[in-house]
Amino acid sequence: MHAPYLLPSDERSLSETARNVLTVEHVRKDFGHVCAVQDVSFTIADGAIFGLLGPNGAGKTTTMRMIVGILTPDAGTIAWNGGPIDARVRRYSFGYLPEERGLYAKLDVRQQIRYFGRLRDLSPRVVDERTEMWIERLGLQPYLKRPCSELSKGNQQKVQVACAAIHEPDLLILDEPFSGLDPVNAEMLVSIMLELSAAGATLVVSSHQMWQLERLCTEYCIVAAGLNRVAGTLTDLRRRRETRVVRVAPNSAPVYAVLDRVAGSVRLAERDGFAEYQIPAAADFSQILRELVTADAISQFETVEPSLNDIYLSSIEAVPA
Amino acid sequence: MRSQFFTIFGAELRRRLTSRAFQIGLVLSVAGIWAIAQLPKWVQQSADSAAHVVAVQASPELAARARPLLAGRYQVVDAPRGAEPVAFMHANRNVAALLKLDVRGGALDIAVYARDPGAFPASLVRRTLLPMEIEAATGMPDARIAQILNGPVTIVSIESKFSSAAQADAARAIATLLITLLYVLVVVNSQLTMTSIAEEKTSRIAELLVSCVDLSTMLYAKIAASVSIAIVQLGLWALVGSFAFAGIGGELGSGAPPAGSAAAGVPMLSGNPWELLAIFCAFFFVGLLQLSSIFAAAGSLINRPEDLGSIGFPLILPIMAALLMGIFALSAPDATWVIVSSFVPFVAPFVMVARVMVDSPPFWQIAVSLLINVVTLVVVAFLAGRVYRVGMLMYGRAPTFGQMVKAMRT
Repeated sequence: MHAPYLLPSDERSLSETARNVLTVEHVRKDFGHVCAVQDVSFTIADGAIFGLLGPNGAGKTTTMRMIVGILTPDAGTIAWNGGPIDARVRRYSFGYLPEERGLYAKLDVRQQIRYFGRLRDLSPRVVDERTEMWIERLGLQPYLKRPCSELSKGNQQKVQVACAAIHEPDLLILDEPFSGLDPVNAEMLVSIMLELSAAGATLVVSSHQMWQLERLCTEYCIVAAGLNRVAGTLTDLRRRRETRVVRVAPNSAPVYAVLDRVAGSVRLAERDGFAEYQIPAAADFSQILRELVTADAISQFETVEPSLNDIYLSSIEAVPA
Repeated sequence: MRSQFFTIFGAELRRRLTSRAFQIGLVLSVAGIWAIAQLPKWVQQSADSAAHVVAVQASPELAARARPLLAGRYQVVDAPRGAEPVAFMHANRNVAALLKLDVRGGALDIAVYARDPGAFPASLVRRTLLPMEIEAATGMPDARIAQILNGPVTIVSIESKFSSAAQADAARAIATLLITLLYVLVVVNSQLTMTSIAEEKTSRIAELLVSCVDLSTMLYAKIAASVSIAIVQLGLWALVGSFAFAGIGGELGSGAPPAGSAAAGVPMLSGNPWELLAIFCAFFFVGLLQLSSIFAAAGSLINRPEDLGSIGFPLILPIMAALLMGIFALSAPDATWVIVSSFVPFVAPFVMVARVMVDSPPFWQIAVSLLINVVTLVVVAFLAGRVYRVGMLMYGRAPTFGQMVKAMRT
């Protein structure tokens, strides 16, 4: 079911020269005595699909709300193309799919999408064309006559995506876009997001579904307790890890002896004939391999790349609850 | 911004006009106005059919004398002289009353046996049979009695816009109706605005809207739609009312100009219905806009649909009080409390309309009252916009007053 044009995220990483369109610098937001966002900073390159990750209560939604102007930061700045974000930018250049879902219960699918198109100042002709395009693209034709209150949660979600993107925004912010979607519809949404990105839109996505983000996003920022933990491409994030995981077969006593001698190594697992160790990134892996080959008949030596999920978990575990 | 205003305005208008509640309400209200207009006629008709037959039990001379006097008001039949009155009434269910007449000691003795004594008050019976009483007491000829009783009576209206009691009664009836309509329109439309906003908030569509619409534009477009709906309702009601109340309406504005006003040289309103309509509309719009703004702000604070009642009810109570003040003001339009309250924001739309309908307040008082209310409207609309902006995005517990003030400042 994968989209044929879907590439590993690192291969789709933007070039170093890509222009930054959105800059978030040291923003802070307090609600009474509760600090929702303490100090978050990141930049997003033009055309990027940016994953904003973090546990519940980390400040992702608040950060997104500040970008679209629903909330005003207590400190820090947010800039679009180097300038302030005014009502005109928000209206014409930004699209937002909020975490909280909601539609006009009595309007049908077409009326709903059209209304949001008109609110974005699109001409009636353009609204009609794009409404039909989104209906077809999202497979909503069988539900056209139904009021939105009678649609399934997933179909409501699809209507909201159309409402958020009908004006073809330069920046589309999607807060938990996959929640409520079955795997087929989630896949459809992924391909739509990739199409939007290919058409030049910059996307900001928050989700807890790491495998989907790992396929989708070109850049990431992990926040926890209102603070930046790490940011960059997946390659950057992997590079910045202080340890690597190596998998060696066979899991014989000489192999264990070599690996145990490496300073700072930690034995992780022993399964299916493999020995898994966490080794400091600064270690000399060529030397380790030479010693292993000398010690035993090594059939496999593999450096396991950490998944986004591994990076995420290790990034947030240092943060006090 | 303008196109957004009209997009929201149009959508809101369509949503309201196509809602079943609005359509049913409109049909019922039109039917209600027609029914109210017909009510006096129906009451009269039913009263006519039941109360018009009166039996006279008297000597042939007295009966012959009484018959023409009663005939103007009742259908008269004779009761046998020997019949026991109560038994006669039981036997003749169509007879509303039996009048037993006799002359004793030079005075007319009248006894009334009525099914409904309230329909035959002594004063009315005495006034109807007054020529017979005078004749019995003085022996004066009929022609002389008629001459005395039909002498001219001239009523000169001083500092009142009505030249007759009937005209004043008609004006009070219409004023009561208009003030009640004002109340109904204001409450219904303000509540619909509140409901619409609460729906947007509780359905969590607010964030999607907020990201693309200026909230103040959204609020004012909704209020404008509410006022437009009210105009449609008012226009329809006025159309139905003008036909239904054609008879009563003719009484208004046809009186002689108030004597006192011309002498004093004070610019006072005449009874011109168009001026009255203009003043009614001005206060109606101001009142509706004020209260719609407040209800809209309240709607933005609601977190659950079931909270609509608990927030709406306390807001309706003061409006109800203003309605009652307006109705009481019709009986004492020049009382000090009425004059003072006709300047008080929120109350003035009811009380000043009442004053204008049954009295002739100086023009400057109307202008000052309107000005005060327009200024209040501007302040209320501004504050409502701030509350709305904050309230629409506040979920969970209802915000405290302090939190609201703080959030409104940002």
